Amino acid sequence: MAFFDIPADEELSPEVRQRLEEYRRLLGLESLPRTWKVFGRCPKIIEARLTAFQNLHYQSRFPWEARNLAVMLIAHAKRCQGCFTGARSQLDKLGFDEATLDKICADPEALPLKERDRLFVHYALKIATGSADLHPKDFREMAEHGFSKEEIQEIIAFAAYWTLNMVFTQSVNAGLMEE
Amino acid sequence: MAFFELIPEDQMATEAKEYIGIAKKRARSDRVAHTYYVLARNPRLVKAWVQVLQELIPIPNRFGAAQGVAGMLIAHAKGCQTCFNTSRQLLLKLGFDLGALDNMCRFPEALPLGDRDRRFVEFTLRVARDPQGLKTDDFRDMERAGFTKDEILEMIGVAAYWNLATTLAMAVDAGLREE
Repeated sequence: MAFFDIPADEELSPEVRQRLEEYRRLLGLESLPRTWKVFGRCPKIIEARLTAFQNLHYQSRFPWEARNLAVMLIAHAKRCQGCFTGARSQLDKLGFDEATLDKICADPEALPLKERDRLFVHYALKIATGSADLHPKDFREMAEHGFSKEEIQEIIAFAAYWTLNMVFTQSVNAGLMEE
Repeated sequence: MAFFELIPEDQMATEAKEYIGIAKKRARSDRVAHTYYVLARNPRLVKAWVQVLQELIPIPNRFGAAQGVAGMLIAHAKGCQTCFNTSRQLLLKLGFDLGALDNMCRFPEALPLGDRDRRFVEFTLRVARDPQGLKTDDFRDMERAGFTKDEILEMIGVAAYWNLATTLAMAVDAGLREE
């Protein structure tokens, strides 16, 4: 038996139901991930996660395709199976095949994207996996590649969002595992 | 010269100023971390960050000052000087002395806290550092120690928040360093 249980729809407040439905709709999912629904009895956490998702991931000036490739690679590096599967399913909808995605995971530098989008993915991955190792020269380099300061901050926030989300996903997945 | 600059309050958009005001009230200070003043260029990011903070670490909250200890130790473990300083300043205002805080950082396995607070801090630190390493038994142990499932979900929220905050702060700090 798993430690956490998934609350039934009837147990959720109308506000929580509405917020979860909004998340499902934004991502075009058939059903809600268990790693979100498990928080159904904690409205503040649902609110926090959706606020972060909408502002730090969903609203963005970078293409959806590049964002999902970044998520796949961050999840791969941090071994977050839930986020990895979610990103792959979005990329599948965009027409990427499994073999291409496997190849990208094996060699993240070989992204089949325009240079600017490839660099977005490269920097997002770098920030999410090693923010303690960043140097001023990393930012100068990004600016030389044409990213504005606002865009660089957006990349930082995007990467930070995924470090938050992966803690949620990995932790609750451990508590949702059958013993 | 640093790559990022701090936006003075009289040059900020109203929304950024409003949310920085909330962060100041929370910190009981007339100044907050530099990270906020840099991100003020993107009011949406400041707003989302503060909203997430308010939802995941409300004031007051059921874990009391132990929240601050958890924040300090997570920041210490991740090497985030900004979050470390912010947590320490708040703990000093709550009556902790510097010597006691230094000892907590040196010996996080021997925290001079009550059993419930100590378990809260240890578990939250563990989730923040290694969510992938969690096992069902870790949750069962917390339950046996008297924590409800909702409280455990809230602890995951606290750990997730600090991953967001330390990533944001460390990345922005790197862009604030003089070259």
